[in-house]
Amino acid sequence: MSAVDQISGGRNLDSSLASYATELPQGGKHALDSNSVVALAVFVGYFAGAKMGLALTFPPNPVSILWPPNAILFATLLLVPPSRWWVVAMGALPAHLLAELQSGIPFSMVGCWFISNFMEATLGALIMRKLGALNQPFGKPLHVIAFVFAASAAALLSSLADSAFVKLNHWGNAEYWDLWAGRSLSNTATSLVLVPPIVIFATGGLQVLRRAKRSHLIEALLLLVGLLASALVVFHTQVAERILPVEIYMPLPFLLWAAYRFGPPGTGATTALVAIVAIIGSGQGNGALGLGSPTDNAYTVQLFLLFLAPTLLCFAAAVEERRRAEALLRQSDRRFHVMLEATREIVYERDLVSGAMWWSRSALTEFGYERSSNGNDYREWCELIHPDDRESAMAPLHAALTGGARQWESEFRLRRTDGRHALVSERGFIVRDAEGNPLQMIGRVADITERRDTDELGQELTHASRLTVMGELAASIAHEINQPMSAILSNVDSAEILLSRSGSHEHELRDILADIRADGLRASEVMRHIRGLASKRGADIETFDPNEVVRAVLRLVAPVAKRRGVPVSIALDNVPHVWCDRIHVQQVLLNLIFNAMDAMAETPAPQRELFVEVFRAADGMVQIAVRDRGHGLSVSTQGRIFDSFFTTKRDGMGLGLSIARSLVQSHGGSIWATNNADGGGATFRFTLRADRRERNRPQEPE
Amino acid sequence: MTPIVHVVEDDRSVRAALTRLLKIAGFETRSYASAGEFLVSERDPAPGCIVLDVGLPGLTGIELQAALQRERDPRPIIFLTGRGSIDMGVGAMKAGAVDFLTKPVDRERLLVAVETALARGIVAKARDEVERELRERIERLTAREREVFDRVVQGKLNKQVAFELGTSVRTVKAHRAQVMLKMEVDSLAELVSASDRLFASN
Repeated sequence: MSAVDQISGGRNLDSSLASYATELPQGGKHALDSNSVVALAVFVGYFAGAKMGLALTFPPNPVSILWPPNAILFATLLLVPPSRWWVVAMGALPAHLLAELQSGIPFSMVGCWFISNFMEATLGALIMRKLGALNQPFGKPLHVIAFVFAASAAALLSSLADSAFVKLNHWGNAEYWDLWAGRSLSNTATSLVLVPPIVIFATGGLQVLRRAKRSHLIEALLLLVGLLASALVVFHTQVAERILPVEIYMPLPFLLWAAYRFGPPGTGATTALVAIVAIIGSGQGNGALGLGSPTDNAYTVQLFLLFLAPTLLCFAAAVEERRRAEALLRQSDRRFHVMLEATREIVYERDLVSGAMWWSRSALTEFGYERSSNGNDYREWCELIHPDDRESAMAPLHAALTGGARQWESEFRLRRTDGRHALVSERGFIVRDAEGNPLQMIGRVADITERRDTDELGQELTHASRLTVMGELAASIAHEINQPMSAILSNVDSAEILLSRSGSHEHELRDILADIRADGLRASEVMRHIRGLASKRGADIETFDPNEVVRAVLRLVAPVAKRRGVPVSIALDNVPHVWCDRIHVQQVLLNLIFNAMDAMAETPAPQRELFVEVFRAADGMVQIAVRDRGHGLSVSTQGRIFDSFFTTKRDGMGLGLSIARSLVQSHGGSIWATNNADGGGATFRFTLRADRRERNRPQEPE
Repeated sequence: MTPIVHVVEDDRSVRAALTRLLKIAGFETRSYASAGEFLVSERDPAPGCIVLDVGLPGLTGIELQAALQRERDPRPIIFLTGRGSIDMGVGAMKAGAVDFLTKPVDRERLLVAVETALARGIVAKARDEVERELRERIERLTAREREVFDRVVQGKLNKQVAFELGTSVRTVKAHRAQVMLKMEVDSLAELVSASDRLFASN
């Protein structure tokens, strides 16, 4: 199977016809491998060819119109490697002798003719080889031209020797150059008409017919009938007067049909058929080519074939080449589309001159749009971009277009059919002409929503781990405070001992008090340091939707809650945006949620529930409540839970809630906790100041 | 000789407060800001104890304890910690610490611990001196006398010792008399107890 075959795979008619490709064996495996088979085939072919040539010789013209043995030799030498040409000669020689000696030609003349015939075939095959046209000799127009050149050159050169042989053997009395011209013309025409079909059908042309579908066979049959009929009309009409010279074009449509639909094999076969019909007709003095003397007629037929065959061969080769290229293109196109589908990326192309747009097949289905609804309008595409992003999305492209850059990149939100927006990244190239004018832009759009989500999650985790770091920090802070406290207490002990003794210790007590003061100051210094740490990042005040933060935090916490077997539910009200530090809110919320989950560690699984609620509170505040079904708060702890270093947890530092309180208070909010009236557990609540501009926002949903 | 309480604590105010308290309570004290400072200070011949902060910079209290044990320092240790875990305390106590106190230190508990440690320190000091003397004596034995000593304290008979060392019973008897003389003991029982004292801790 040829490469073209594999490519065009399941394609019907066109490509199965196009699947013909002549790959001449370069010494590879082939039926022609066996020397005896080659010799026998050449013998049979040559002998039959000679008989046919003699049959097509119409007395009194001594020169046959076509002499097939030469074409058979030429074709065979194209098919077998030079190392085995001697086999061809071995097969041809007996056939040559057998055929010619029967005709009563002197032995020396017969021998000479064999030499000149073999010389022609050898020359032709060598030239083809030299020109590198052996691969698909009739599949490319250039190769056909090379073949025409090789055939002509071989005939012209070998005829020099042939004519000399005739003169030397005193065979006939024609002039040397007449002989030369006659034989050259005849042999060139023979090669052009007969070599192609022999080579094509010897190298798999017949397989095409075998593989062809029934419809192709019917088509081929119709073609043959039409061709034969028209050829018979043109070349065999007996009443010469009724023939118009232009009627010679009658078979042309069928020949072109064959070339177009059946490629080189079709052309090879139909040309040979027309040649035979024409030769017989003109030989008998019939039809369009049988108007003159037999010699003139032979001359006319040869010229006719000489011009007809190469033209049709070139045409067929051109069609074939085009078909192959198309198949390759289809193949690469298919590959390209498969690749596009696989990458889930969208590729588009926009002609900047005409404004036409092309989309990859999967375009926009990613975003819920139907395949067919791909807008061809660039403006439609622009409409899909989030209004807020439109300007920034287009800026890099416009900058690239005007600035002479070859690439641009941008990131923007694209509206999906479900109304949500996908975050996409676009990267494109601009194709420019020699003057640098933009001709075309090719863009690739990828949905990076997920990637961005992951990034954001990562950032949030960093903030969450800040809390953990905070915990570790707290341990060392506790130590820092413990040291002066411990010194103070020891000093107090010393003072007490001194005071319990008689005598004056005023000096020493003064020292003790000074030390106690110093340590007290040191402890408070540490505390100030902690407070500084808690807000070290420097508040980043902005206005944002608290619901968003709640959703983000819950998304972050979801895996943990799942692992701990705590179902999470939320109730988000339409609240105004708040005016504070988003990360602080996240931290407070995370803290409360983790506390809530910790509190439910002992709660039986079916009763566990974490409920987060966001609603509008009085005085332009937004309240966020975190309710658990845990152990609740005891009367003794309730008042102290927000104090630093107070904890009911075995391994807690008692800093989480105190930090949460300082964060909330730094934004003008408050935080408190109550036991639930129903069902146990506690609810922690904190308030955030609503954005001044949004406080008066109507409460109706958007 | 007055026993001395050594305070090893990196925090200046804690160190000052503790030494003041101990002084007022009537103890002789020395203070050091780090384990290194303690190690390089001149070794006081007086008995005593060490009040040692666990979380010292550089060599930690626990590491110092191990170092002192290697040196056969007999002075008991009272640990102080700001944030010691239970595990750490157990380890320190097993290694011979008298107590493991968390800061802020309870006055009564500290003073009791120091009293206990000093008492233990005095006993340890005495034991240490006896051992030292015994060690000096055993150093005086010749190699052959040492071999005889080792076997005699294992309860071997003169005959066995003679056989093992490839010599006569008579020679062994002579060596044995020499050993008793050099070790300054009168009976086999005393010799064995001297050996126990010397090698029990090994």
